[in-house]
Amino acid sequence: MIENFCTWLAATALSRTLAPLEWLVPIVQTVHILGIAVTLTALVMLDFRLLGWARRGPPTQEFSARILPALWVALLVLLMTGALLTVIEPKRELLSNVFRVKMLLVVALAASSVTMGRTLARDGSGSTWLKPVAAINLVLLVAIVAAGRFIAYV
Amino acid sequence: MSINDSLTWLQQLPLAVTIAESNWLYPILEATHVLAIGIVFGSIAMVDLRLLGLAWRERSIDDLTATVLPWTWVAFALAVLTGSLMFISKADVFFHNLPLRLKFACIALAGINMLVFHGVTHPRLASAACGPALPRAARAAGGISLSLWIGVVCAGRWIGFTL
Repeated sequence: MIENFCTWLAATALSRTLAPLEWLVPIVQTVHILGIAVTLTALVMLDFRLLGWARRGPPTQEFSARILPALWVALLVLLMTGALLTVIEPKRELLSNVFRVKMLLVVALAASSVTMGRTLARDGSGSTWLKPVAAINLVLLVAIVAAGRFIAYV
Repeated sequence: MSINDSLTWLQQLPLAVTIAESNWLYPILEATHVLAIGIVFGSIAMVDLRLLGLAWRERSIDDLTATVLPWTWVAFALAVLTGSLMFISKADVFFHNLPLRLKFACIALAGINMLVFHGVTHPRLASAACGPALPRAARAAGGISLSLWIGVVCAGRWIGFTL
C-alpha cells in the first residue's frame, strides 16, 4: 500500500519537476540541519536546566518562554523541509524502517514536550517528574538525530 | 615527509583502519558530529542574533555570552574530535575534498571574525552593551558570523555528496 503511495507521489508534477534538480536535496537537507540545530540547542538547554545541570542565565520558565517562538519556527522548518525531501525521493523515506522509527520517536518527543510545557506553565519548574521527562527528551533527541543520519546507511 | 606520506600514515593508524572497516562506527561518529554541530550553530546563533539586535535584546552581550559560550566550546571540542576521527579514516580523500576545504575556510574566517570582535569591537562596547541597538561593528560581527556558520553547515552537507 505504501509502495503504491510512493509510486503515486513520485509521479506527481511537483515530484517530477523537483527530482532531477541535483542541487535541491543538499540545500533542503542543509536547511533541515539548521532547523535541527535550533531545535536541538533550545531543547537541550531547557532539559539541562530542568535536570539542574545548567544554572547560569535566566530562570527556567523565563528561558522556556523565550525559546518557544524560535522552537515553533524551527519545527515548522523541519516539517516543511522533511516533507519536501519525501516528495522529491518518496521511496528513500517512506520505505525505510529507520525513517519510520524516526517518525515514531518524533511523535514521542512531541507528546513529551507538550506535557512538559503544560506542567511548566501550570506548576512551575519545581515539579518532581519534570526531571525524568527532561532526561527522556534528551535520549529521544539523540535517537532522532542518529536515526536521521542512519536513513542513508540502512 | 611529504603531505601524501603524512596522509597515508594517518590512514594506516590502527584507529583509522578500525573506523574505516567498521559498518557502524563511522555512522555513529557522523551522528555525534551532527549533534555537536547542532549545538555549536544554535549557541553561536543566539549570540549573533543578539549582536544583530534581533533576539534577546533585554540581555547584555556579556551576560548572554557568559551563559552560552561554555556550550559552544564543549560542543566544538566534540565536533573537532568526531571530525578528526572521521578524517583519519579516509585522510587522503578528505584532504583533497573541495567542500571540506571550504568548510575549514569558513571556520577559520569565523574564528578571525570572533577574534576581531573580542579584541577590537567588544572592548569599545562597554556601556552600550545593554542597549537593543548596537554599533555597526558589533552588528557586522554578528551577521558575518551567522553567514559563515551557515556556510559551514552547507559545505559540511555538501561533502557527503562528493565522496
